[in-house]
Amino acid sequence: VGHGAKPTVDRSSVHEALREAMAYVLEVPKDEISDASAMDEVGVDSLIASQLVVELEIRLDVEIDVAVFDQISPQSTVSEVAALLADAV
Amino acid sequence: LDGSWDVAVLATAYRVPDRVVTSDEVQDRVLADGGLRLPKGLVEQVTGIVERRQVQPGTLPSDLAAIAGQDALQRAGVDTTEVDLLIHAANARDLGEPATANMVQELLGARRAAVFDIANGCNAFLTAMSVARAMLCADQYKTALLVCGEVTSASIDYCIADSRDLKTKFAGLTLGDGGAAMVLRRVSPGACSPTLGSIVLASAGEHWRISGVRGGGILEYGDLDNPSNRYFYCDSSELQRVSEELFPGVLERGLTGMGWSKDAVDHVIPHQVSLGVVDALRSLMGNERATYHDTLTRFGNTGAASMGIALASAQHTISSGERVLLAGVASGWSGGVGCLTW
Repeated sequence: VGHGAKPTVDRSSVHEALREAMAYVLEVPKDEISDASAMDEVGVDSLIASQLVVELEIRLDVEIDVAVFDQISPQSTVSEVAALLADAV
Repeated sequence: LDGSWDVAVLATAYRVPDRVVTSDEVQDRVLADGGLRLPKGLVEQVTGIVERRQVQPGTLPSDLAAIAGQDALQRAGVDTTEVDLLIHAANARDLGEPATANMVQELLGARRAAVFDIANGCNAFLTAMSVARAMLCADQYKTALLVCGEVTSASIDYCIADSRDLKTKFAGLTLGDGGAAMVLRRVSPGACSPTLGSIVLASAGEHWRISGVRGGGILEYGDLDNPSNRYFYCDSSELQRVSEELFPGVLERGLTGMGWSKDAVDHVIPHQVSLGVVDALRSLMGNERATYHDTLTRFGNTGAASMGIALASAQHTISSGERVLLAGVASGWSGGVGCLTW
């Protein structure tokens, strides 16, 4: 975990970084990303989820365990995914 | 089918190069070439591909095609001089002109054969099966050799700038090299098996921009210095969206042509793109009894060779009388379904 020592990243930072990453990858304004939106509603599939994880690793300077993909479903909301990613950092 | 002839599959065969390249090694190459660090294990996690094979520099599509073709002829007990129709069906080719089938003809010594290439993205091999069947049933030819030599590794763009760039370049990271072949013969009805049944191909040309390789045609002439023209690109999300809309109808037509229900299928040979795509087909079929054959984890996406490789790999597990379904979507957009009775 991390490029060396385990970084400290709080859950709210992961949540905020996810919203920013989604805005960047999906090319939509950040305020259009609702916490209650499901992944399939906003068009996030496994490819776009991959793009998001790449973006999050860069933005947060962490490594994310890609096994988290097994826990994310098309019905997972933005908030739920943020929580899962925070646990995977 | 005109009812006068069956078209029997005398043999199938595949060959892959010896060199194994793991998904982790592909990610290392991405880091080395473009500086983008992909999350550890990402390609394998998302696609299910553990490793793929890649040729040594200098190996041509015709080399892979001819080796697989030679194996198939040997398994069929057919001499090369008996082949009167030879089709190379792949995305890769040796030259812009002539057809790669000419090189294969020379390598195999199949001097009696009429030869040509078929291009139809990753559905090229299935398309060749359909074309060959029609030509055999029309009494024009008796024995056809279909070959496919995919050197996809030359089309992988490892230089990925950032997460947005990954959108159209991720699919390239799944590619692997390989060759497939099939020997077909016109026979009297019921004379031997397995036989080719319904093959349905459908296309939606308005979606041609979703995926492909830009180079190699006249469109490239104004942009010859752009190295990205030689690389495969694919908006996999869009391809999946279009396929979810269009492929169910193709599948229905293919099964109806055979009088098969989805539940009647015993073996499914999907185009090997990712485990997600295979799962989507499994959901569409709703048939948990069938065996879904996978060469993806070991060989990756071998383009037009993938269904041929998977079929040849699975053939020893298929029993006489069982129903086999080939299914794939490809650049174009095209969808294809092929039915075989073993």
